[in-house]
Amino acid sequence: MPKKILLIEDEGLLSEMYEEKLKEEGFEVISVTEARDGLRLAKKEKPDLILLDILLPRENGIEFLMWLKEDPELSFIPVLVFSNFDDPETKKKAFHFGAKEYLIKTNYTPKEVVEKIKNYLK
Amino acid sequence: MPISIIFPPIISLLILILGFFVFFSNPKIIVNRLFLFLSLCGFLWHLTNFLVDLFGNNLKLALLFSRLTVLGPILLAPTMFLFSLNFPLKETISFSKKFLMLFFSLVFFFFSFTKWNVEKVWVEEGKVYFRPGIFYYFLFFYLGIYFSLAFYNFLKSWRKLTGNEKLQVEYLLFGFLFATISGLTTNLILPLFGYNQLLNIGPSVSLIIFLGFTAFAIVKKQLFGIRIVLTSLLVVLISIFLLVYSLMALPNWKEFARQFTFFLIFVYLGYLLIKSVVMEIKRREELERIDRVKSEFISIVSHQLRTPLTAIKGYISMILEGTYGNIPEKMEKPLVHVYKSNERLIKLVNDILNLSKLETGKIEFEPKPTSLKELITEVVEELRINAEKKGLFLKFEQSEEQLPELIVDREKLRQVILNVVDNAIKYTQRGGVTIKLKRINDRAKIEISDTGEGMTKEEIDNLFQMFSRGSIGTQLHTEGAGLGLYIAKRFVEMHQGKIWAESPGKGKGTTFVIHLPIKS
Repeated sequence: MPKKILLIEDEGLLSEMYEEKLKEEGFEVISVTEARDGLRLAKKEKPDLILLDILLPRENGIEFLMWLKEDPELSFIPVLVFSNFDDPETKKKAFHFGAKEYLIKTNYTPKEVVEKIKNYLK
Repeated sequence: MPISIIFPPIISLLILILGFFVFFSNPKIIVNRLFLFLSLCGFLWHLTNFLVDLFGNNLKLALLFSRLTVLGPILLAPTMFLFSLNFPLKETISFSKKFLMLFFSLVFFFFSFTKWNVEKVWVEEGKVYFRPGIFYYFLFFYLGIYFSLAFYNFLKSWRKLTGNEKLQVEYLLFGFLFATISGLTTNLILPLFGYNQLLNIGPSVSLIIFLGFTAFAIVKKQLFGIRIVLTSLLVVLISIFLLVYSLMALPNWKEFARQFTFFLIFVYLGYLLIKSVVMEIKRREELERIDRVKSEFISIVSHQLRTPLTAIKGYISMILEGTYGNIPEKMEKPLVHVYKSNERLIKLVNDILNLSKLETGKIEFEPKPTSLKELITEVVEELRINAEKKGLFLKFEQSEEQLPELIVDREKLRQVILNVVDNAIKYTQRGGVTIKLKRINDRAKIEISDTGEGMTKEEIDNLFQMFSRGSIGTQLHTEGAGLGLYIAKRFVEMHQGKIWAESPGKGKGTTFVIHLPIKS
């Protein structure tokens, strides 16, 4: 049974790229572009891990983390934040609301991101 | 002329000016109307006190004005409470509470004319004294309750608010505190030591201080900071003192003219002083604003630049990893070049962002226990391939003595070591790079030595400056922006450590030394 990854990323180009790499590595990928859709699908699909961008249209990634933390059925799902928005305050908030990591996308190849994911799914 | 005659009219006038100044700045705002009413209450209190002293020779009138002195505080206290409900946050109170307030005010109002307020007045050595009635003591409770409630409301608002509004409440509370302290000093502490000269002046000064701070908090949309207020306050107080002093010289007109000229000169110089302070603070605020905008701009631009760089990095790496099938041998080299160029751009963006954070003090510092041995091994593994491609050795030698884990920001220290080792490989054509880790007393010492071109003393002196590269750096490599070592130095300093370079001279290699304190 492949592990399920929920990918919340609004940049089409990047979303396609990560989805491709994750599928290549044998993961099942559910991809959405907005936080609200992400929450809906998280409830429905119960993914093994969530890969979350921060700057999203409408509600941002921090709000998504807050919703997730409040929901006892979802709060246990590990969330890796990956964003190019390198702001100390946002980083602090992300960790406060339960993010496992805050990766700066540009510093990691998709392969390295997959390695991180595998570490959390061991 | 005695000070007791000169001082009250000046203060009364100031109170009225303040009240109307705030009111006319925008008469439609309820806070401004309440402030005017507060000032009028203060004025009434002041005026009645003045009239008591003025009619000391007519005991009937002195008794009447003595009883009327409480009218100002009776009206001032509930107004103050209402003011606290409207400034800066608006809160409403129920009709029944309003009715209760009005009822008590009316009760106290009617009692104020009776003997239960002031029983009698008499004159001793030209001063009017009075005997308070039972009502007078109840009045203390009445005032105490209203002022405590108002103070509580201000504190509540202060906790809730942020930014400019919080600052407004701070001004108000500061004025409140200042007024209380000056009032207590002149009317309680100094009299305890037998000094009664300021008894009449104390409450007036307290009132004007409180109203002054409050007026400033209301009128100023963008508060300048406490420095201006204190400067203004000092200038105003000295001006009042000089004016009173000159008036006291009357009827000696010659002396009055001399003192009054001095007063006018001081007022002018005071005006210039306040103006210069305002200008300086405005300039500083403008610089801070530019700094903030610059930092936000860099943050957004970095984010926007990073997105396409991420896509390039990701896709090229996937092509090189064979995600899209085998690539022709001829294509591999150009793809690696594209990848490396992209990495350079990523590093530049990261450096600029780090620099911006360092300069604006927004850089995060996340210390946690870290093994230096593991960290260096990681860096060596990452850069080994670069060294091997140039035919260089890359060695890590650790002393036998085990180092404890250090409390450091792992990522930042990794960047420092990576940067220095990467530079060493870049600027070395033959031989290689050796990294040594050892303990020296209460410090960890990391030594990165290369067999490269070496540096002159002048080059070493400028090495850790922003946008600086050794001359050999400009000859051999032109890719760095000269930010890496500057950032490395700042990162090491964040750990209370030191970084420096040593070189015996040209052609004799360079050694970079990093010292980090070992904290248990």
